[in-house]
Amino acid sequence: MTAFWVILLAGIGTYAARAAFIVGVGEREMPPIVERGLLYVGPAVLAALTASLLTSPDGLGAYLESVPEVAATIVGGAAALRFRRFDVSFTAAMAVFLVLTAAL
Amino acid sequence: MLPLVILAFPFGAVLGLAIAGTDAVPNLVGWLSSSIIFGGSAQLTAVTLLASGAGFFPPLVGALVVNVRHLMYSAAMVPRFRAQPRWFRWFGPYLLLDQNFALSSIKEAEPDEWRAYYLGAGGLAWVAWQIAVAVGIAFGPVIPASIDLSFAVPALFIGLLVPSLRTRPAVLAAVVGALVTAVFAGVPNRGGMLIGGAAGVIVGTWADLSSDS
Repeated sequence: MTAFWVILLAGIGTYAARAAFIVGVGEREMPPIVERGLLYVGPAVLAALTASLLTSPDGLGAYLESVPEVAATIVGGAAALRFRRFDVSFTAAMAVFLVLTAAL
Repeated sequence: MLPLVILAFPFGAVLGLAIAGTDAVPNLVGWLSSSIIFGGSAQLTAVTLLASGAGFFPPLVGALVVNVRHLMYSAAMVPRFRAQPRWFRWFGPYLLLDQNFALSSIKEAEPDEWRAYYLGAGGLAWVAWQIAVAVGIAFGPVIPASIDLSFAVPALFIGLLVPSLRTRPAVLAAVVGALVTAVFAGVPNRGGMLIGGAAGVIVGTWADLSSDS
C-alpha cells in the first residue's frame, strides 16, 4: 500500500504544480512586467530543459567530450534554423548521433 | 507529432523494467502511475526509491522535486490558457508534460485551434505512454540495447526550440537558460534547470525592457 499512496500523492502534487499558475491566475491580468517576463519563460525553460538533458548526470565536461552528441547538437540546430521543421531537425540529429556512435 | 509516440517506447521500457523488477511496487500500481502522475522521470524516481526500500517520504519528495519544473511550464502557459474555457483550464494542466509543453508553447493558433492542438498532442502522448509502460512491464526491453536512444529527447527539443526563437530577447533568454543550466549541471534533481530557466527569463525580460527605452 505504501507504493500506492506515494504514487497517488505524487500525482496530486504533480497536477498541483502544473495547474498552479494556469488555474490560480485564470483570466486575470498580471502586472505588465510579469506579463512581459512570461514571454521568455518558454524559450528559457525549453533551452534549460534541453541543456539539462544533455549534461545530466555526467556534467558539461562529459557532454563536450562526446563527439556524437556535440556533432548531433550542431547538425540538429543548423537543420532547425535552415528548415524550421522539427521532424527534419530531429531526423538529421539522430542520424548523425547514431552513425557517429556506431563509428567511434 | 510522431516523435511523441516513438519516444514513449524506449522510456516506457526502462520504467516498465524498473516496475517489473521489484516487489515493492505491484505491477498494477506501477502501471497506474502512468495515468496518476503522467510524468516519466517522476515515476521512475518514485519507483526506483520505493524499490530501494527508502520508505514513504523519500520517494514522494523525490518525485515532487523532479516535477517542480512544471511550475515554470504552468507560468509560461498562463497567456495561452487565459482565453480558454474554464473546464480546459482545470483539465489541461493534467496533460502538461515536457513534450506537450515543448510543442504547444510555441504553437501559434487561434484559441479554439490551439486547444485542439494541445489536447491532440497531450492525448496522443498519454495513450502512447500507457501502452509503452504496459509493454515495458510485460515484455521488458523492446528496443535492442545496441540502439542508443538517449539523444532522442534532446534532439526533439532542439528542433522545437530553435525555430521558435524569433526575437533577440527570446534568443538571449534561451542562450542564457542553456548555458547557466549546463554550468549548474551538477545540482541534483535537475536543480540546474531551475536556476538556468530563472536566469534566462530575467535576461530575456531585461533585454526586452531595454529595447523599449
